Amino acid sequence: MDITNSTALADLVREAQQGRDAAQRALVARYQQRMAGFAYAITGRSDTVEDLAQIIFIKMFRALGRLDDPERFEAWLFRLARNSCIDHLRREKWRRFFTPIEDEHETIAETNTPVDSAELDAIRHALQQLKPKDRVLIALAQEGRSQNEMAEITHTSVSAIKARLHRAREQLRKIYEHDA
Amino acid sequence: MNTTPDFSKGWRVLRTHAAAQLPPDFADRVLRLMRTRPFSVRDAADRFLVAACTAAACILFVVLVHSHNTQKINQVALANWRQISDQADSFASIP
Repeated sequence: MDITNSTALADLVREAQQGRDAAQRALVARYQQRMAGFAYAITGRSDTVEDLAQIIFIKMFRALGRLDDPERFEAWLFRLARNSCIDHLRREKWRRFFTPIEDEHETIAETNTPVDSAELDAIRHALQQLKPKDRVLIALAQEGRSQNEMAEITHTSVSAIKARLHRAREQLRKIYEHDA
Repeated sequence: MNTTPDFSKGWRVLRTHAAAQLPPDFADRVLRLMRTRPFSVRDAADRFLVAACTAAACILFVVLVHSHNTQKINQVALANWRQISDQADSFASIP
C-alpha cells in the first residue's frame, strides 16, 4: 500500500483499528525497519532486534484501539517503542545481576549483512557510550521526532530535552569522530 | 530536521543492519503471534504471578528475620533467668 501523506496513514491506522488484516500487515511492513533500527540503536544487540520489534508491534496492536487520534500515530508508536526498549534494558540489567557470569560469552555472533562494518562498529560503539536515556533521545531525533514530541514521549520539558539532546549529540559526535 | 550530518552515514548503516535482522515474513509472524497468543491476559497473569511471588518472598523474609530475632532475645532472656534462678538456689542453700 502506497502511503504518501499523513491523512493516508491515519486512514490506514483507522482500518487497522477496525481489525482489517491487510491494514495491520501494511502498518507493520511500513514501520518494521524503523522499529528495528530504533531498537538496535538503543540496545546495541543484533540478537534482540527481532524480539523487541515483535514486542513493540504486539503491544501496538493491543493498544491501538485506545489511540483516539490516528493523526498522532507515529509519535504514539515511538513512545511505545521507547518504553519497550527501556523496559528491556531494565530487565537485562536485573537478569545480569542475578545470572552468574559464565565462561561462554553470551553475545551471539553478529549476522553478516551487506553494510560497512567499520562504520557500524563506530556508530554502535559511540551509542553504547551514552546513557540509555540519551540514546533514546538521539534515536528519536534521527527518526524525525520534534522536540515537543520528544518531551511528550519522555515526560520531560522541552527545554530539558534541548539541553540533553545537545549534550548527547556533542558526546556522540566526539566519540564517533574519534572512532571513525 | 534533526539529523546530525556527522554521523548520518553511520546511522544509515545501523538501520540497514538492524533491518537485516528481521525475517522476510516478519509482518506475517507478528500477526500470527498476535492471534495465537492472548497476550494481554498472559501478560497480566505473568505480572500478577511476579507480584505475588515478590510479596510472598518479602513476607517470608520478614517472618524469618522476626523469628530469628525473637529466638535470640528469648535465649538471652532465658540465660538471664537461669542465672537468677541459680543465684536464688545458692542463696537458699545458705544455712
